Amino acid sequence: MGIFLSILILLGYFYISKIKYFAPVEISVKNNLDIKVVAKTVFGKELEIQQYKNSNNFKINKGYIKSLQILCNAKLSESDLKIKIQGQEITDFKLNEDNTIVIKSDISFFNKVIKVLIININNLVLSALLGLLIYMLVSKQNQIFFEKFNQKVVFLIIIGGFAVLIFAAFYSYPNAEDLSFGVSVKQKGIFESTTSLIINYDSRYATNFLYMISPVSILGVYAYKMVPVFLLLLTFLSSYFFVSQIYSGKRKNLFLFSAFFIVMYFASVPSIYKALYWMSSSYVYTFAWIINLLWIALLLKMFKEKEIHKKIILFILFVLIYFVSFGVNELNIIFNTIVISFVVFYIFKFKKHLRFEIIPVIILSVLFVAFVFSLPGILNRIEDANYKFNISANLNFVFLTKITIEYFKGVKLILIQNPYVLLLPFITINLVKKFDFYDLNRVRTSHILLLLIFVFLVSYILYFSFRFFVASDKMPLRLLGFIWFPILLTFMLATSVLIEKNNFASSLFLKQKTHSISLLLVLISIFFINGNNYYKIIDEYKSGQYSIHKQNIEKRYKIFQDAAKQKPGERVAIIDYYENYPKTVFGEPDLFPYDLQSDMQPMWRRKYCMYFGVDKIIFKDEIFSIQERIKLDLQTELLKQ
Amino acid sequence: MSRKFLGISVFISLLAGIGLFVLSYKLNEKHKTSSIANLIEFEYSDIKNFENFIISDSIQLYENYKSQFEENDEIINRYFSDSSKMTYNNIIFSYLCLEIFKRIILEVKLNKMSYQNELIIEVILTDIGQNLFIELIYENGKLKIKNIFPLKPFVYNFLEIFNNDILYLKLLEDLKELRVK
Repeated sequence: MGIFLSILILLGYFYISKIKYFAPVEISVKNNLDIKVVAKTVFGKELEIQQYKNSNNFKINKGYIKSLQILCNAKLSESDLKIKIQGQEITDFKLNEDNTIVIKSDISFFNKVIKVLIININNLVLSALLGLLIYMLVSKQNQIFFEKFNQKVVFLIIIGGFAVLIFAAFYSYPNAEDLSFGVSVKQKGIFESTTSLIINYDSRYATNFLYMISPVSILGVYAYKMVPVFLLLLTFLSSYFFVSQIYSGKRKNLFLFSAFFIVMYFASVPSIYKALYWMSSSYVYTFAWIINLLWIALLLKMFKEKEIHKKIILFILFVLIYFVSFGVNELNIIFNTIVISFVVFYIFKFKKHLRFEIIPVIILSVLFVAFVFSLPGILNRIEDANYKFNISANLNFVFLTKITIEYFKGVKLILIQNPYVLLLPFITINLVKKFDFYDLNRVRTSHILLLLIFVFLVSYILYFSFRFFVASDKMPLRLLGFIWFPILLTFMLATSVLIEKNNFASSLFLKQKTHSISLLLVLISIFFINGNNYYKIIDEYKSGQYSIHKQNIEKRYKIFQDAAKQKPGERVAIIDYYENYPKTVFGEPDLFPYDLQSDMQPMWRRKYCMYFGVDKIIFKDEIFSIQERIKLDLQTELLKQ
Repeated sequence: MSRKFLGISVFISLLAGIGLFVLSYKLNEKHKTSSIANLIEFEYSDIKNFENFIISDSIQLYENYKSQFEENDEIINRYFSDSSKMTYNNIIFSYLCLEIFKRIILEVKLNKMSYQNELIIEVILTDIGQNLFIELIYENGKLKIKNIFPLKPFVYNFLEIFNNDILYLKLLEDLKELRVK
């Protein structure tokens, strides 16, 4: 009873300390006005808010605030202050004659309590989960209770994860680069657009074709939401197909494991926007793994197949998917070569009876690599890299060290943001139940460790190859997300085999109670702890960014469509600029004022123009600056004349 | 069974190989004929065709605007306050393209291009923070842009602009001048 009460008090304190009502509040003050901000708390106590980081801004992150009072010695005007309450800018505040502003909520106490509960529902759930966790640690429940409980928690994590990802997909809209493919399809058709890119731009024949047949290119901007949903389902299905080729456990367990892995991958990937919601990026990086897992699985299935007809059908399927794989991104050439070399070595060393089956695969690999390098587009990529970045000059120790440090920093960054990843093998072993793949008895601990080192090495080679050609000061998050996929999958599978092989670890981690605690910790981490993708999505939705983004984008589309109805030459769309878009589902390159994004902005605007059939897109604020600019240009012209 | 599989699979691989070889050959041929070099290929006899192309409302407006500018400063407000008259299609960007063309023509003149076969010029576009290297070739009475790098989407856009914007007017004048010379 004492323990129960202690837990209750602890959780009550935790819950109250996290309460947000009226908060977060941000007040930015222009100029050097002397401002004092006083907040009134629930018991009527007045608290003076200190300036935020020595700037003339004030910030209240949490707490229950009844009202806010802003006092100023000098004369205030409405444009001097910018007040944001719960992410929404307040513009209708009243300026009193004595230079004070009072902002308070005018709802009843009962409504307030209900609202506090709703706003802080995540904290309430989190408190309950923490309570459950502590209760489990101290209680002595039986095995069956935990088994049933675990099944429910696993379902909860999977359904919760998929629900959040699909929900966010409804708020995803194409950016300028995504639209550019639609423009190309309108002008030249699907095949001509694809070949044009292969000839002039790069060697990604599969990705380029996918861009051209994407929903946004064919069906329109609103069909874009289908892209992340399709990708999500395909990633899940190909993971399932892959896992089912290396484990022969129950179908249900493999299904659960694949779904769980996908939820964990998208929870921990460094940029969910680049991995899922931005088509131009996700088709290159996430789609690559869908195809890579498929061809590896098909190859394994082909090796296992005894019937000649089925074997040939599998071989033809393999040829197709393997071919697609080379055309997804340039890194796949390296990945495929390493994996096939490893398979060839393994077969000639340990499975000589399969040597006849690997010969055509070797021939195909050489053919496909030759094909990719014979494409005119790849020369452009190399030339481009050469132009921007002196490759031979960078082949030195300093550069090598720099990239190596950056790689480890990247992996460390993911692990620091997602420490629960270390718990995943304990969950995997309980999900898959019993490993029964190729000669498990012959697999030694050293093999597993070697496999892990091998995957890290491959990921390092991929990272290095990319960074070698793409010079930038920033760590490329999309690349980090790309290499994280095989690392996480191997880590979850291989370390769980290690646990099973080790009697002590197996007896400890196969316990249902340990499983329950791991699951609960993962559940809390991915949905309730800041820094995680699902938390970020939920947080951005709750702050209203999603709905504001939807309104703004759809308003823009409406303006474009209206402008397109005008006479040619008069189709001008004047739009508003907003910067507070949700970073989880939308981003660059897109429409920005020239002073923010000058490099490629003319091109992106033109793509928008061509997609929507308008002559010109202009931001309201730019009208004046363009006037000035034209004036200057013409003055120079006239002077010359 | 292994040998039978080997025979069939090697046959399929060879078929795939032949298919890819043909595809690669065709793509490379297409690259030769439709690459950047030929996208911007000027022939003096083509100037007549350009002339038909360039007459558009926007150019007329641009010309009117230019002539009236000196007389009346308010003309700007007239065009820009009324959004329906804002027909200057990507005017800033057009100016950048214009700069590229001017530079090409200047370099061609300066370097007596007709006596040389190839020339690489660098165009510094400070407005967009991008430098372009343009490789020019002059053969059989044709001035061609053999290559532009970096081959960024910007360049394609530049070509799009080139195909339908006021640049033709300027280019035409300059080319005429070049022809006379």
